[in-house]
Parts: sequence; C-alpha cells; structure tokens
Amino acid sequence: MNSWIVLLSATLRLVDLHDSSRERRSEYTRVSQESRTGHGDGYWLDIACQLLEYLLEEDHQTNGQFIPQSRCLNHLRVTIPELSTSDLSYVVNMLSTPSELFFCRTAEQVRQTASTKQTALLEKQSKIGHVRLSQAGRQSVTLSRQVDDILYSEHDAAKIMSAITRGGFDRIPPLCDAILLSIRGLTREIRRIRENPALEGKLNSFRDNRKHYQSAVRNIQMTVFDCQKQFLRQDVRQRFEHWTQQRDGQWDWQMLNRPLIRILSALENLNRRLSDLLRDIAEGRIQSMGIVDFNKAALKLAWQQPDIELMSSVFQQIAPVDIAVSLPAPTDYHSLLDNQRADNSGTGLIYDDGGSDIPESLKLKRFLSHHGQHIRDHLQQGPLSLSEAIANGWHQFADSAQASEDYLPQLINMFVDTEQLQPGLVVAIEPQSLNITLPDGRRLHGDNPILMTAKRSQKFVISYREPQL
Amino acid sequence: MNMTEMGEVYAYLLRHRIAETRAQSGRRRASQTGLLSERDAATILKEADEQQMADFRAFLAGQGLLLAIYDSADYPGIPPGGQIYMLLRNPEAQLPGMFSQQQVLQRLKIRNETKETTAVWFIHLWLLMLGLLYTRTNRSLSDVSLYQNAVFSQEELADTLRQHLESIRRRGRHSVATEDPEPRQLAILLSEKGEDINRRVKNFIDVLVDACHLLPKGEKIYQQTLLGALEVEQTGLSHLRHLIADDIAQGVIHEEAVNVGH
Repeated sequence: MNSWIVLLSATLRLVDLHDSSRERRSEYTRVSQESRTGHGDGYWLDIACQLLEYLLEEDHQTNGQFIPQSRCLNHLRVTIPELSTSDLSYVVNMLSTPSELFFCRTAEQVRQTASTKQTALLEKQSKIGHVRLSQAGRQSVTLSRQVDDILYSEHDAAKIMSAITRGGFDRIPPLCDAILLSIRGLTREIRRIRENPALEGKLNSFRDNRKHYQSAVRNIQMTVFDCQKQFLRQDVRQRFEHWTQQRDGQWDWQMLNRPLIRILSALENLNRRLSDLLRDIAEGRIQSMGIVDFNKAALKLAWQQPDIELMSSVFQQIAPVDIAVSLPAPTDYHSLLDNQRADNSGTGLIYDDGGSDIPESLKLKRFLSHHGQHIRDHLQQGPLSLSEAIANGWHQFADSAQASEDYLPQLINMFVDTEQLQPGLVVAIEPQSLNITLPDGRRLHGDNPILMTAKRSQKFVISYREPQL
Repeated sequence: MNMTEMGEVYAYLLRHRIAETRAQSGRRRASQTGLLSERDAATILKEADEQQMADFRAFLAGQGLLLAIYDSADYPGIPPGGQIYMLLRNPEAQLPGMFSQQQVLQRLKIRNETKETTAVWFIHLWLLMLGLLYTRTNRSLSDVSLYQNAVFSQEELADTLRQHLESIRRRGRHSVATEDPEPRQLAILLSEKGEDINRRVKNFIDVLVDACHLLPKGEKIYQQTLLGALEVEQTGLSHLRHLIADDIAQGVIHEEAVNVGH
C-alpha cells in the first residue's frame, strides 16, 4: 500500500495541473486549495490498490486469464471485511472506464494538443464482468513497486550485471546513478528519523523492514563486487574494447568502474548509519524536541523574571564568542614566518589570487617596466650600488603628462628581492657609505648595498679587498 | 597536516567556523592577510590522516571545542563528493578565558547601555528569530536538515520585535493595587522608544552573520547555516530548558525509548 502512496503523491499535482481551468496569460498566479469532491477517507483508493495488486498476482499465475469478480471479492474481504459486491463492481467499473488524458506533443516543429484514452487500468469482459489488468494497469503496478526504495535497487544492481554480459556498457552509469540516488534517499531518511522520532510511521516501517534493508544492502554489495570481477575478465575486456572502438573510443574503463566504487562507499556509509541508528534506538538515546512557540516563550520571559545571573549565563551560551588576546603586530616578521612555513609544511598553498592585484603589486610592475631594462643593462656592464641608482634617477619616473611618481620603495626592493630583476644576482654591502638627501627631504644613510651578477661578484670581491690588504 | 598546518587551520576555523571542500553557493571565503583561504584549509583537513585528525580533535577538546565533519550523505546542500568541516562549541564544556564576548557586546550595544541591557535584548531577539526559523515552519529544534528552508528578512524580524513589544505594553506592566516594582526586564524592554529597533535588529543580524550562523541570501534576506542549525540544536537540548517557562517547554524534550523488535 505504501508504495502506491509514493507513486500517487509523485503524480497527484500533475493530475491537478491537468485539470486546471486557469486562462492563459491571466494575472492570477495564486493557487487555491484543490476542491476534492470525495469523502476524503481513502476508502475507494484502498480497494482499487489492493485489487490491482491481487490481479497482478493472478496475472502471473494464470497468464492473462479473466478473473471472476466474486473471487476478487473473497480475496479483498480478508482485509476489508465490510466490502460489498456493489462497492467492488463500482470500483471495477471506474477502473475499466477510460478517462481522456490531454497533452502537448511536438510534431514537425509544431506543438499540438493530443490526447489518449488508454487509461483504463482493467479490462472487463462484457456481460459476465470478469476482469484482468490492462497494459496500463500492469504498468501502474510495476511502477508502484519500483518507487525509490533501496529494497528494489537490488534488481537495478542485477541489471548492471546483465548490461555487462549483453555488452550494453553505456547503460551502466545511469543504472549506477539510480542506485546511488536511492541509497542517498535512505541515508537521508535515517537522518530525518534521528532528528524527529515523531515521524513514528517511518520509524516503525523502518524497524519492520530492518532485515530486508540489511539483506538488500548486502546483496547490492555482492552484485557490485561481481561486476567488478567481470571487468577483470579477458573476454569482457575485449568486448569492451571492440564496443568502444565503434563509438570513437570515447569510453574508458574508469568511467564504468568509478560509479561502482562510489556505490560501494555509499553503501558502507549507509551501513554504518544504519547500525548507529539501530543501536541508538535500542538504547533510547534519540533525543528530540517538540515544536516550541518561541514568540510565546519570549513573551513569558518578559514577565517571568529569571534572575539576571541566569540571563547572563544563557547569553554566554547562545551569543557568539570572539577571541580576546593581545599580541604585538607580527607584520615586521612576516617574511621570516613565511620562510618558516615553507620549511615546515609540505603542502603547497594555492592562494586565491582574485584580490592579489593590489596597488602595491601594480606599482612594482610599473617600476619594472620603466626601469627594469636599464638596471639589467647596467648590471651587464658592472655592479650597481643604491646610491648610483638614485643618482641615475631610477627612484622616480616622470610621466609626460603626470607629475613624477615615486619608486624609491620599489627600487630598494630590488636590492632585497633580486629575483624580480633576473636570477643569479647577489648583493654586497659597502658599510656606512650611503648618505643621500633627496630633494623632498628624505634622507638615506647607512650601508650602501651593491647589486651584481654572481659571476662578477668573485672578481669584484677580490678587487675590492685588495686595497684593504 | 603537520603542527604548523594544524595551527593555520585552527586559526582559520576560529575566524570562519566553516570550511567546505566545495562551496555550496559558489561563494568562497577568500584568503585574508594572515589567514588561509577556505580552499587551503579544507584541503589540509581532507588530506590529514586519522592520527592527525585525532590529534587535532584532542587539541580542540582541550579548549571546549569540537570538530564536526559531514559529507553529502549527511545533510542536504553539501555537494556530492564534498565535505564540510565545522568548529562547534562543546555544550558540556567551559570555554577557556581566551574566548570572550566583549567584541560581540560592543557591537550589539547601543549608546552607553549596560551589559545586562544588551544581553536582555539579545535573548529576546534570539527567541523571536527562532520563532521565524522554527515555529513559523512547524520545525522542531532537532530538525537540523531543514536548515535551507529557514529564511527570514531583516524587515520581518524588526516587525516581530515591534509586535512583541506592543503585546507586552498591552498586557499591562504591573498590578496597580500592590506596589511591587516593575520587573527588570520589562523596564529594559519598554524603555525602547522605537527609534533603535532597526539598529538593534541590524546589529544582531550582523553579529550572527559574522559568526556564520546566518548566510546573506540577497537583499536583507538571511538563511540559517548548517552550523547555525547545529548550534541551536545543541543549545536547545542543553540550555533552553532553563529559559523557557515550564508549560511552553512541555514536550520540548522527550526522550525516545523505543524497543527494537528482535
């Protein structure tokens, strides 16, 4: 019965839309409550569903024989004792009378309204009134049995096997997806039961079907293992090679194997949750809360005078917390920390570079494009000291239109981060020989750094030291 | 994850509380100076082995914190194949002194009001927000996985607060016959002249957005985050009992002891 409800709830709103009388392009978009004319007790539906189920069984056993209504009545009276002959024949008449279904179809790029009347679920022999399932009826029972439940995914798993043996390899990923979906569905269900044990119906049906669930999980697992074994066989491999060649080699083994692995890990996950849930139920550990009217609670609170101590401790629990520590700003040691990170950690960081075009880095780029080549040329000739570079005017750049732009920090940076210019540069220091006052009042004094290529530096050091010796 | 990385991830989680390997909304928490980007933090956590994770958990446990890890099978909204890592408070444990609510109080407070006043306003706003997130949709506190449906706008919260104050006013403050003093909370709530309501609501929401309990979803519309839902569940189970009058709290907690048929 439950599976019928799932099937019907999946289609009911579509039927409502089918029956909608809204005018096209009307302004109104609100939806009113459907006016269902029935008694709203589900009685007729119950009879119909049980009848259909019974007729499918008979259909299997008798291979399409018409069944007398009296036999149906006897069977149904086991569960619905008050069922009368006329009630049953009403349901039979209803199910065997077709109703017209309208839909749109596109033929030769023109959309047309079309309809079908093959909606009768039963066929009835005239006069004697014996019944059997129609094609549509058989389909509806089969559909109702296939609804999303993992219990029926076993058969889907078996389909993977037949897809392999019959060489329908392109069917495998969609089949796997269907299984994965139902596994995920059940995992969610478990989560919902944990969160809200008030869903007692679910809990009960779950408990009743526990053994079936566990065996379904086991069977799917076994089937998937079997499929993986099949993949290892030489002849299956060859068949696949052949098959994929016919399709321009767009497929490879991984595309078939990966979904199977995903199923296995999802099953493992499900299994764990299943046993957790069962254990928690057994130990009565599932806690849940009813629905609380918080507005009313807030109102009550205003009068109820919980003492202020309590209020402040509740505030401590519910309000977010921040960190209160006072540390000196560590930016001065930033480069030091950065290097330490490279020594200590093997994982390369991927910085989001979306926001990395800060003005500073743009300025560095501009500096390199204006003066980079000059400096490199100069380095080819010989070493370059900071004082010399400033004398050459490389600490600024006068645009034709704008006033001159200050590049002193960038220039000094060249003596620290030499890789910006070219690899293989070294820096030497000439102690206490720098003393420059710039026109704008800034004063540079102290050690004068000298930039030179590594090859040159040896000669230079020798020639530099000689006078001292 | 070595110790350096653990420190970095810890710093990241303290600031943002959530690290996702794949973003739910396409929006990522970008790297900031001195902080990993979300992607890096999540990658380091994902690649850590069990021993390292156990160490990390133990380290956090020492500070009254928990690391929660969920994947797509756990809650809706986590993209398939993705993980979400969250730093939660352990409701049973005391937070060490390095954590403080001074900044939060600072951001919530209006003019020179006392800490007590700020706290009273916060608790009332918090309950009213729960009304919008839970009571309105018939959601119980343990329905964590319905967090995506829990949406409200700043305007709604402000309206609810106005109504709340109005109902308090209408019900009358204290009995005229006896000379009992007016309850403290009433005095605090009713001193509101109306001009600060929007500011209070905005401060409140800003603080919760900053703490990753709420996620902005368009113009002044906010959705509860998974972290927010989990924390509310925790506080609900452990602390709400003290706050809510008994008759309303009826059925707040019922322990399910269901026997499993064998």
